[in-house]
Amino acid sequence: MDTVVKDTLQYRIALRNCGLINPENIDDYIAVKGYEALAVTLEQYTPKKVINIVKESHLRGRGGGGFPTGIKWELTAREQSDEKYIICNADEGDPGAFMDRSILEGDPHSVIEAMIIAGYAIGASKGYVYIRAEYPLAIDRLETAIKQAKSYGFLGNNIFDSNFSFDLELKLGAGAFVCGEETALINSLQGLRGEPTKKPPFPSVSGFRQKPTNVNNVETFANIPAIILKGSDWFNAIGTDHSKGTKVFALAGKINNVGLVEVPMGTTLRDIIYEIGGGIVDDKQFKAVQTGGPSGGVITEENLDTPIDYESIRNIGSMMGSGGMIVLDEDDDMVEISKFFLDFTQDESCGKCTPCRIGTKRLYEILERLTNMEGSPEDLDLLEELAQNVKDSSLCGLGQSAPNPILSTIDRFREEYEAYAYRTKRTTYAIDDNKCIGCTKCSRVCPVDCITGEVKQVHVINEANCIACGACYNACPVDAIIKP
Amino acid sequence: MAIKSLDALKAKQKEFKDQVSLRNEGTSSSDRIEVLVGLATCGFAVGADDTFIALEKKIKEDNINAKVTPVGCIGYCHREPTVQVNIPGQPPILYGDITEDKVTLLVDVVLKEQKILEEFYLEKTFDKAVL
Repeated sequence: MDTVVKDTLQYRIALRNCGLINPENIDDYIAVKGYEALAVTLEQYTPKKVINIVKESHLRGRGGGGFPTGIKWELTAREQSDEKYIICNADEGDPGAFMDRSILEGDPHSVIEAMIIAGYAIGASKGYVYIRAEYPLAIDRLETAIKQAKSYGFLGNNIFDSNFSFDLELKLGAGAFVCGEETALINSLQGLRGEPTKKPPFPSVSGFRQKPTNVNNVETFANIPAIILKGSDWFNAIGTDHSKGTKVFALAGKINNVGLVEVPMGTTLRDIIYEIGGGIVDDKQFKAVQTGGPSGGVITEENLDTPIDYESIRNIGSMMGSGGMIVLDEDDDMVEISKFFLDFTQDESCGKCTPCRIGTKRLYEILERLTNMEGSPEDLDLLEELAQNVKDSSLCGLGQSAPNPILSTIDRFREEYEAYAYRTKRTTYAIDDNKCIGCTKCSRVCPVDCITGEVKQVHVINEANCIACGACYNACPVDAIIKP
Repeated sequence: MAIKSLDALKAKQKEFKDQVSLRNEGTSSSDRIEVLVGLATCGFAVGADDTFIALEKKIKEDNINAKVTPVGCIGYCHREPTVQVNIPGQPPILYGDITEDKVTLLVDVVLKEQKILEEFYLEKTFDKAVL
């Protein structure tokens, strides 16, 4: 039961209780050894010991950065201050990603327990969960969970009769993408504009109210109680050399089994997409998988067998990110995909630094020009040069990574960009003369009557009137319709 | 009531021994069936709340010794609403696509006749850390 079983592929640590306990009943959590890690910590471990366990587990930040969690805790613990803070970053914002929401909705107590443990380890007595107001159910369940934890004495004064006291509060964010960046999050928490500040000073030195602050992501916290109870050796036995444990991914896009999966680090994308994900919808051709959301890139067929961890995924031109995985098939237009992400980032740019504010806007405009068939070959050089500039000169992670979707797709799918730039891309459907059997099915389904031809003769699409709806493509029994 | 020591916490854990073993392995000292319904955002989006209400109603009407429990998301968003049926003495089984209109069928076949509903059977593809 409790070993990594190969034939199931998935192994759940962060999601261990999701779907198996009632998230609104603390007793359900206690039944599966909930708050035992906290009790053991407070009764038997020194803060230093807790930090050592987390350090030795080699747990790394699951929000995407991959910074070692134990070291982050240690850096905050060693600062001298009358007050310190623990913050849980629940400002999940990548399009198509819902890992943190599911954990908070399915197992809120695991995050609360981990935050209390973190508070003890670094010497903080106050914690905040920064969560977007767009997650009403998660907020509801967290509030219920906090109330229940208080009634059992897990939050408040002298927890488990120790000298340690800790309190927890929810803070709702308005759902700005940039507030997932820790300095912007802290500003927003203080009632200031959600804009990043330069690092150093890092939050571990001067964060919330200028006090040492430790910010971790929801999924990172959800791993902590398991690590405390089962030990760092157990955690180290799962994963790859430099990335231990598991990662939760949200599978979305053109994949049969849309959903949440948690796999040991080092699982290949092929296993995730074909074995767990059940392959591509309608058995279409796999084209790429987009990981890391608006900060990441695309991974193509040739790299599907790469074991996934923080380093390897960077080496193949993308990033781990928070765990969103959008699967793309043969019908997806890569220029449109990067336009979608740039539309998102230029909208979400906070505007503080010029390269990001203006650069992402201009990048988006170039992409729009291309997809409107108004671009030119020079636009491709401009796109690459500007993308590199925005990457090199932006203040925070948002701007530094915003050009990644463009750089990654232009590298792998340059011909698609060229088809737009040289205006050779067909935008309408056509009929293959050699394949058409003249069955008339296409002309009967065409909503704008632009297909003509006699029975048993080759049919023709009048391209001037075609609206590219694809009805003929779906109707043709012999695959004679050519897609744009 | 506050829990003030590891021993008190462990004593509390013991109270739920049956519940945990029923959910994990399908063993219990009681013969009460438990039905877990995935009620997270993904479930709500396809009417899992209606499934939940209909299940409670049907179980009460038919006087079955069973309890319906709301749980979070098990990860199979493509087959929501998902339901896990834990019958004492049998391995727990997951069913997918159990919308409100399938509740009567599920209760009649799975809870009463105690047969497997092949059409909605959902293969569990994960193992988990047991603390």
